[in-house]
Amino acid sequence: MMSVLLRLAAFELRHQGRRISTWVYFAVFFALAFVMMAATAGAWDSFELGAAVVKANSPASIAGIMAVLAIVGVPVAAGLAGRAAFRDFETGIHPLFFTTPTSKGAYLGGRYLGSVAANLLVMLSLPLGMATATVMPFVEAGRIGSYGPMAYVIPFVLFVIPDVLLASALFLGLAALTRRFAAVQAGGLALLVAWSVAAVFAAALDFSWWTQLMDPFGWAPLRWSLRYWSVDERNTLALPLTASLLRNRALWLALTGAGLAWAVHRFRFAQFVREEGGAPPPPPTEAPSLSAVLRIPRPVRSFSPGARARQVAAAAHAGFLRIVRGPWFWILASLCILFMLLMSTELGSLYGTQTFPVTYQVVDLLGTSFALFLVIIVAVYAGELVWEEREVRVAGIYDSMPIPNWVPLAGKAIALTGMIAVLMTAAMVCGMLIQTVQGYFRYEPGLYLKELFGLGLSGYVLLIVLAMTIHTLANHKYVGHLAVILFFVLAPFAVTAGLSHNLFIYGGTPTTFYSDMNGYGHTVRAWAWYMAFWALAAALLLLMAHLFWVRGQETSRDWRMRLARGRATRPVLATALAVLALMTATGGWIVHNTVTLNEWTPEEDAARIQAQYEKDYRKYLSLPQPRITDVKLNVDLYPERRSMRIRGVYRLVNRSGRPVDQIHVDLTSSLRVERMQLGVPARQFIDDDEKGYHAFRLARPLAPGDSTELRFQVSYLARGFEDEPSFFPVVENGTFFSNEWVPGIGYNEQGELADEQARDRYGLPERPRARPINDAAGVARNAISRDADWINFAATLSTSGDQTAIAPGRLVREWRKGGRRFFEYRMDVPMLSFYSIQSARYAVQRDRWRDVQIEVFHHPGHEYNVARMIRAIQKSLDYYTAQFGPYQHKQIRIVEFPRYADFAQSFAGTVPYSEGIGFIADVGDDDIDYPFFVTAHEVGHQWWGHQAVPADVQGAAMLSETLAEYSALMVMEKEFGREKIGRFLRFELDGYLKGRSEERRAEMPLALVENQQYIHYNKGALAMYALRDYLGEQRVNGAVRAYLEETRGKAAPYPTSAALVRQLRAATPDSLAYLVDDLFSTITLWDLQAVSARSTAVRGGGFDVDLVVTAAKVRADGLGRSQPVQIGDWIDVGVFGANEDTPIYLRKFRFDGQPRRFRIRVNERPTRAGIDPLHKLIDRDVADNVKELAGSRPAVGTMYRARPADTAGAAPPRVDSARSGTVRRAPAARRDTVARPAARRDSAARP
Amino acid sequence: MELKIDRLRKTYPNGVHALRDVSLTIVPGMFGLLGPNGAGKSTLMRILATLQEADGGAVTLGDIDVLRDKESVRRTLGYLPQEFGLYPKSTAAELLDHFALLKGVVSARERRETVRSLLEQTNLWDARDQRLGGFSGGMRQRFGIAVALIGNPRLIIVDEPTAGLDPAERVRFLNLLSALGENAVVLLSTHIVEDVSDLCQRMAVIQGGRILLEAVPAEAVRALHGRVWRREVPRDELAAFEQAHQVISTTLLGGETVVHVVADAAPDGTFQRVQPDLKDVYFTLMRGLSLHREQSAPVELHVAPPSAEFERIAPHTPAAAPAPLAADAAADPWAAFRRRPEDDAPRMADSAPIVDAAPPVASPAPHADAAPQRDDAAPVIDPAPVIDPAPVIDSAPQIDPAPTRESAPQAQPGAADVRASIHPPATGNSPSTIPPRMDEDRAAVHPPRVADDQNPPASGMVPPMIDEDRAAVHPPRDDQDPPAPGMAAPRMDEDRAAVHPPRVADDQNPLAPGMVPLMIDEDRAAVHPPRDDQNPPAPRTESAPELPFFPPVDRSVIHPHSPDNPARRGDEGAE
Repeated sequence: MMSVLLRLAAFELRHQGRRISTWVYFAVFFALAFVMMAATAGAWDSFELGAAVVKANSPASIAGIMAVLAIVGVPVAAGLAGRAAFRDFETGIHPLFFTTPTSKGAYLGGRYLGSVAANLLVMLSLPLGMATATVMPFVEAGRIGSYGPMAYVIPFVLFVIPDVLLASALFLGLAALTRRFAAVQAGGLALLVAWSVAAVFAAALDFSWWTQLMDPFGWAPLRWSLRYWSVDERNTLALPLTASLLRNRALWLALTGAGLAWAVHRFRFAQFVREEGGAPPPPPTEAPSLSAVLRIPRPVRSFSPGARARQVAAAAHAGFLRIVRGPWFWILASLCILFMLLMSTELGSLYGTQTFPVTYQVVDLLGTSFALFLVIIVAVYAGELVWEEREVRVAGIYDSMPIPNWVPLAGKAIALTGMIAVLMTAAMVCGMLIQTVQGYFRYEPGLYLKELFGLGLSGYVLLIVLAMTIHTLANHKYVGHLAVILFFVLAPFAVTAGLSHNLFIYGGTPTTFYSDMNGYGHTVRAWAWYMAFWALAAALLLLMAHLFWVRGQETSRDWRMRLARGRATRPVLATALAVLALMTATGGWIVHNTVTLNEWTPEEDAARIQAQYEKDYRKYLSLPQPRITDVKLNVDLYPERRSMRIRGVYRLVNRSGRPVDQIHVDLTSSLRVERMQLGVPARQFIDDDEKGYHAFRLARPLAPGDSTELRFQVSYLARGFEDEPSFFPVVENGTFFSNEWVPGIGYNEQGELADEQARDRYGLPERPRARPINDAAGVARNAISRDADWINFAATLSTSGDQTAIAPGRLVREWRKGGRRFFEYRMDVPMLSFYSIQSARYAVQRDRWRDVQIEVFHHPGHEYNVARMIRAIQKSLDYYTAQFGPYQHKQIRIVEFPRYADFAQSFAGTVPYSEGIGFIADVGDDDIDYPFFVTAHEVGHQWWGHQAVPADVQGAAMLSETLAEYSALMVMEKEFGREKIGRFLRFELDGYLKGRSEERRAEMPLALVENQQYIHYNKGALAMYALRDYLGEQRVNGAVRAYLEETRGKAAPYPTSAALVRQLRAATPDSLAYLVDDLFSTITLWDLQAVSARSTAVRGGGFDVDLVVTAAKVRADGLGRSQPVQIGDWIDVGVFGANEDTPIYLRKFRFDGQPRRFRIRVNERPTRAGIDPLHKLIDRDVADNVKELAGSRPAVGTMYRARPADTAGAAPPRVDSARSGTVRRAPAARRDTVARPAARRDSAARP
Repeated sequence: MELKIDRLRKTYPNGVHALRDVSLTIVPGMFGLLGPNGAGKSTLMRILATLQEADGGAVTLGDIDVLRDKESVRRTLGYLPQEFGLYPKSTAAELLDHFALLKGVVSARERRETVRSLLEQTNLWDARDQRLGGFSGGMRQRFGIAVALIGNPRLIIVDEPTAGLDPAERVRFLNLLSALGENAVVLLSTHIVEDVSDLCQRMAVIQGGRILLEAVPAEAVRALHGRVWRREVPRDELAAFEQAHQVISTTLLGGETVVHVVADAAPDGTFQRVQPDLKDVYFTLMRGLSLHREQSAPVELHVAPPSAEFERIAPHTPAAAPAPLAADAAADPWAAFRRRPEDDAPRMADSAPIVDAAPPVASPAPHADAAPQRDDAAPVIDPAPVIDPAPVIDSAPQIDPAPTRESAPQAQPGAADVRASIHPPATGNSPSTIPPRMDEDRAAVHPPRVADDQNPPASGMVPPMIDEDRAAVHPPRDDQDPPAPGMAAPRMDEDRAAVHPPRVADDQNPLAPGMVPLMIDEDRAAVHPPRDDQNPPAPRTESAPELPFFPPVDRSVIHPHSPDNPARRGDEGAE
């Protein structure tokens, strides 16, 4: 038995080894491993996976690459193991095998072992490819460490082998039991679904044991165990063999074995009664007798165009029926739907709070996760349909029918389109179901139709045509599949390779982006032109497929060429020429619009221009320049034309103390300068429109203290359409732009090329993320505007008659003229040179807080959380005025803008707030009320940023963001209680620990933060709240207030974080002095652990909790190299009862590094107990802080922990930018040609 | 409309010459293309069906250039490929309707009628809503014919349609095919000799991409007349024997090796003259031997004639045919090969040798023929029982005494004697033996002729009809036919007949009349069931019904030399 099995295995291995495809797999995976490793090691500038500080070949990195590629390799298992079992049925040789004296165990087992061996042979390419990459001369030597062979062996054993065993068993079992290859495909897709779902849950904050087990590839527990690893740990440690990982691997190996055994058990050495399945065959009828004279019917026949149309329709109908009659279509479809339903549970989740399932979000879900499945299905079924006649062997009959090639071709394309339409319909129904289940009844069928059947389906039609053409030309099913898939894999790379115009890549269209406020806006028109262009291209492809359509037996290349020539008849050529002509015309029109009327600059050029800006003008950085003191703007918005004109007057005062003989004006945006003029005689000597730099030499230098004016007129006139639609500055409904769009004074460092690789390429020096904390030039200006201190601001806005235009300040006057509305705003107190202009068709809700007017301008229909926001404003104003000092404005506004960007931003008394965050949040009773929180945060910025203005040095974000975060936390604590804060802080902790593990340069202590969001938001909130817990609210607030009073309204020199730390330290008793250091000045991590915990009921009521805990702490450097430090800290010890958020016992004890034992008497039945149970300190493993109490019922209330909540994935960056308060948003790539702080759909804008 | 193939060449990339200068002219009617596997039949068929490209040569169908104007060919083409599948999930009606639309039948009503008519005529109407995946091989072939017949094609190409059918299905299917060829060019390729001899008015033998023979089957057989000899040869002498003689076939009969040699005279006294059949013709050609005597000019046969000659002697299109044919027939040495089915009738009536018959003289216009044929469907019922008894009874007494080979091997010489005794009249009568055979194929269609046949063929007709080797084995079985209750058994599948004789008889009554000619026509159908019935009485006991079943089974297995064996066994792997 054994020897038979081995012999069969060897036979199988030899068979696979002889197949060319096996070696193709090997080559492909070798290349993939090689490329991924080389890219991680910095081999290519344009395609970089790793960071400079991380070693590319560390065990963690190798394990990551190998685990991912092992998943990518699942189709190989389908090809090897699936075919190993399927081959005999396909060739019909199985009766021969079945009649040999081989046992079925040996038969299947031999096939299994043989294909697994072949598969492992293929997968050996992974370590080989990676190892080869590490010794290549073109990788950066600094990113390669020396780790030894075990770095490769362990992940191979841990991931590759079990994955291969599992996938092979699945595919072999499916193929052997069903004798259908489609089952193998469905199995592969099911595996993909399982993995995707596991990946979603793996990103969750609380990751329970079963979600760790769920991932069939072990990737989720691996990621989980590495998620908080610092750079240094990644670089030095061996792969952690955590229990959850080993458990996962053991489980799936066991399932593999069981599945295989079951397959062998169920497998029968017998022919199926009917290999086709279904009902038993009908009894054969007999042919008619000879006496029946054949009367051949003579129907009227027609070959007119009308008849052709009927034939196409019939072919489409028949093809469609054959697809949907197959069970596999429904299996695939239901897998898609299942996946979608699972994904929907995390819809728009932020801090574990979901948004309402508004239609565009549900549709987005379809656009992303569902799309992958559709692409796979299209690729598979395009091949199936092209090959259908030949595989059914009806081709001989079919090909001799009097129909032209394009009839079946078009019919099949339409059938496939119909199939996608069915899936779309299913998705639509499913989407509405999701909405219904989540209690949202505002269905928008029109939007579904537009998105799914208008935009979606047309894209898929292009894809279908391409896939069918590829399959026709390739005339080899697997090569065809590979080519189609390669197209999808490679298309994104083409963009990075410089093919950035949408016309360069088949099917490329400008992004269409829906927002509730602006609908599709101007994006659809451009899209339609591109779609017309590609539709014509698809027609050409169809013509090509028509020429090369395989009909009959001649499939050699020569004959196909000759046949194609023969088929290129006059009408075909005429059609091709006509289509080509139309394509040229459409393409010309598109080029005219995107390149001539609008600037279209390849990214490479944009980077070059940006680099040149720095090279040409950085020399003027320290040139003494006057400061802006007054801004008067006349902004005329023409939303329906997406155009505007700004006339402005700046008053400039020379405060430099030196005479100013040149005045430099910088325009970061692509606005056209129509006029620019100084109030004193001057000659313009730099007029660089490309880089937006203008410089004037004054006839007479401006003496210190002297002032002058800058008058300018700039405009933005939208013409035609762009290759990628810009959503700034003006859109039809929901205009929002800030003063980045208007001229500034002096050289602008924010406009420099930021990408390190690109800087290197253009020979630019490394650019510090921030100035050192004591840098004189940095302290001399504030972090918000380089060219002004405090300004007087007035603006007159005009917009179309149905819109409301908003700028900071008091609304002085409002009038209508010529069908347009005019608004005059004036700021009553000096403010920072930081303002926004908005205009849209708003509904407004007003309220008051004392004498402050509260206004929420929102899109009609987005009323859900307006009341929350107003309440948040009121509570914030209550708290902040009481704790920190008065509010400086007479109004505070929240103004919604479309979701082209996802953040809220705090200007003076005005908070632009994206429709994507908060307005549609569906806050349940138990959820974190993040609209409330975000609002409180932004209101906090009116103090932190707008009253106390930080210097432009390290730590600036601590003064603005961290304090705003703390303020908002305190308001939330007052409103919702401390339990909610505890939960919220778990997200902050997770965000911080993940953020530091992805650091690309060096982690900074909080007080020296260099605009690192995971530090100033996440760690900042943790640090401030921990301090608040140790010192008490009043002491912390007192210190913060002292800092504010010291710095309020101050101009240069501006305060740094040192001022705040000093105040905090002053408020801290000496016994806790270490805490200020640990939290603000160093990178300190605690390791707190409950060693054991048990409870005993005490006679006469009450319980004794016996608890042993340990505490240690380490200090890390920027890369996470950590060293233990002496601990002498006060730390909470607590016991929980029935309520999982509020402890029934909580007290601080001092720990000195030794384990401590406690006996705690509680009245209520205790459930859990431990150290730092509310996670106030930064601990990488908070799960071990608390232990379930032995002897007591397990806590009822851990439910929320099991619920996966999203902080990973897309959310944190969004949250962070969401509150980027007064800090300037990461400067948009300068002169991103149309250097709109653009939101390309693929980058920042999309959630 | 005739199909002209002129010096068609096809070489595959691997260097195989599939077709070497193939030239044929095919007139409406059933044309058989006979050749071993790999001879180039399917290549030729596919080229004609526009599915493959020729390297050179020309093909025209009427005025259509087949090689270039494929679309026009397809509009008038009905093609049944050698091997094909059908969408297993579709139903017969659905798929036929779809193909009808693809063939240009746009009107839904006409399509419905077409589908109905074709399904009814192929006897698939009851199965119209069944999924094609459940169809048996025969049903599938019939469905294929239904598809091919949509739109009344003028060119029907049927590529090895009987391969893979079980014997009964094969018979039924040939039945269906036999009804084609009214006014279309029907090209039937096969490697089964019986298919051609049963069905085709004209035939060509192809091997190695060359046409070895183009002929009227009967004429080809006649060319061998008196020159085929048979003998049993011990197996160990076989090699030497093959050296010494022009052996055309070696057959196992009941364990003995029987060889046929072709020679102008009996090589020695141990040989018996046999009545040649088409198989002998075929094997003779396959052995590379000439069909005619060395001294005689190849009058009757034409081996791969140059196309130019063919064009010169243009055969007749059905409409215009009768007159020229009549005029030319006497002078034209090829006339015999161009005989059309209609021509047979008068000749048969005369029961005269073909050559003498001067067919054109007596031949009525084909159109005139057409009507009576249909009208006479009914009368068939009567003649049927009459026809068969006549010949069979006549010969029966002569054969009866001889024990069957299976039951008594030692009696074999006796069997040979019997044959010898049968043959003399046959040989003497040779010209006339063949036509009747042809005639009987069409017995159902030509009732008047049938009626006439009853007497004349009685003495000489039956033996030639019977497959030679089988005749040698089961002479009595043919004779036994009449005793068998009615003609029932022959119609049935042999197994069923063997197992449930009574039920078989019942089943078959309603159809019996129509099937009668078939029995004669199809040796095998006639062979097995009666043999089963009749064997027990002679050598064995009547007791066990399953016993008589064994011999035929054995035999079919030990007939390795017979190329049609696999097909007869209904084995899928035949091709």
